[in-house]
Amino acid sequence: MKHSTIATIRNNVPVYVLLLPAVAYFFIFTYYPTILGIIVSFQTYRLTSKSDWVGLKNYGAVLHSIGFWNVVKNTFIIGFAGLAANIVAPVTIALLLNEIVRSTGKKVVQTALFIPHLFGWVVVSGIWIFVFAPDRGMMNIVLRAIGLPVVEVMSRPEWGKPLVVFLMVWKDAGYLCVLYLASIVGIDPGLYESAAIDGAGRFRQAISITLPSIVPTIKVLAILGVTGVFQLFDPIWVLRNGGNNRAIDTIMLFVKQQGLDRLQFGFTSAISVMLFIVILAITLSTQRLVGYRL
Amino acid sequence: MSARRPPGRLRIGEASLPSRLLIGFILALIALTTVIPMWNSLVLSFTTNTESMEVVLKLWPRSLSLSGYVFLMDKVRLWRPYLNNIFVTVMGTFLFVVVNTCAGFALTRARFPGKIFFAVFLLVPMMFPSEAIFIPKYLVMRDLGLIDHLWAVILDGVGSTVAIFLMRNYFTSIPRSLEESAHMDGASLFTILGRIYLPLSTAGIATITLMEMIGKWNHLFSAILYLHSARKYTLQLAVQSLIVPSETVMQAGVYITDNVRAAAIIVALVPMLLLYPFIQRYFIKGIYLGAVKE
Repeated sequence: MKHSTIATIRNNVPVYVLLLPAVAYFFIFTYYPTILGIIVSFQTYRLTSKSDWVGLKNYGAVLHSIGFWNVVKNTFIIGFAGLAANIVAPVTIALLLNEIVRSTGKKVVQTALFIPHLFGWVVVSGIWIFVFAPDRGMMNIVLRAIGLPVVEVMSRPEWGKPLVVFLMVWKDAGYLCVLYLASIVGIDPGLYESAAIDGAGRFRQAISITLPSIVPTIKVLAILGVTGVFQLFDPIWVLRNGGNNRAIDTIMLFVKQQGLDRLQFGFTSAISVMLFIVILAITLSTQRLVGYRL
Repeated sequence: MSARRPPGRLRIGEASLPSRLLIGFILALIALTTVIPMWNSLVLSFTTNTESMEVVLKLWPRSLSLSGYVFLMDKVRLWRPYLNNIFVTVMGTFLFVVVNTCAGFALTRARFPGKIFFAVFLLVPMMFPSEAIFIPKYLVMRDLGLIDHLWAVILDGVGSTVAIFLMRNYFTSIPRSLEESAHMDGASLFTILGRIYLPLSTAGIATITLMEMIGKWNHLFSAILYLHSARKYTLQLAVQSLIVPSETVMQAGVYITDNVRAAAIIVALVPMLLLYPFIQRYFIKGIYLGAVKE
């Protein structure tokens, strides 16, 4: 018995060789750091000398830190507003595109909207700085020309959150729209025929047939998006400045500053562990809520 | 019923001409929000230094000047981060494809001891918020001596549950009978993978290659975490330091004008535009095919 197990393992050596790189990767860069993070969160971690155990002190410090609650608030507002906007906008565009039969125009619009998905956040913010800049920006040149006051979109705190959400939509709506169009293609044409016989117009068909048919896709993309809500970093890093940072800094940005710039590894690991638990809980509960399992 | 209609297209009760025009008009407006800012950046990149700083709308360059691009390569020396970025993208994508293809293939093998353990081990990280644990991941990178090395950025994200299972699904769709004769000839597992399975799953490999190329070319977060010295900077970091006039730019004693910034944005996005036909062919088509199959 034992001998035969060893023999089957030996026969399967090539299979293990193929698995090894991926298994090693996930061990070194996912499982081990997770465990390490939990350990460090109970310590005052020092890079050079020995670390001390401090129990739950780091967690207490996080919960009592004023900066922390501000970034939590920002993360929730920006994250969920962005998630909602990136459902409403692409679904609306997909429904509109679906009404267009002429395929050249449709393709041009689809391509134009998809392209920004291929850009990094640095490029996205760079392109829009030339539009929103207070003096030389396109938008403010036009506003001045028609006698309206200049709007400092890039640096005013009240514009911070709308700006991030707007650019999240600008970057990804076209890509998400393609996913929705793909699920619209799969709808049984018979449904439209019977609706038309019942006298439903095109608007009615879009609302009563197309929209309900893509709800499963909306659910899947919403679940996949929830994890991203708590990991918002790139858009904030490229858009923040002295004017708007308090309005848009997220948890991830706070952790980066406190951890890597101020070397508070215990404190920030406590945040990571809490974030980890919250994300896992939300992912699992939303999966149950909308009745979909990954 | 006999006249077959393309699925998903509402042919019945064609919308009235005014409503079609209205929809077309709305879609054109939405498309312009992507086209105009991109066009503005392109025009700006071809202006002269002084022209680029003028407070006028730049929708057409008065003179086609390459001074922005020359300055970018000659004075800013953007070619160095550009080469770093090419290296990171090529190596990172290569490793990504090899590691995940091998693991995906291993999981298609009939039975081997520990198969379920390995499948779960590779699947669970999808539930983990991989970026939320970046503080302990940073500590791991530091212990491996990879901080301020391009290899930290290359290795980050090499393993991917999504890619592994995407490849596994491609491989399982290939009929088993194809490999039986190879088995009889005593071909090794690696020969079977290379000679039979890989040539039949080029679409899958193209999909994960494009997926990772886009991600690696635009990577920002890992560069912020792991790269500290300007010599090691990859493209997005370098472009960002131009767009936001930071102290390093002042120190170098060079005055960055808008045409240089715009040129940096254009050179950063052009490789992604060149990929678009392939993305159209594999990525987007793959999405549609997936939808039809379901």
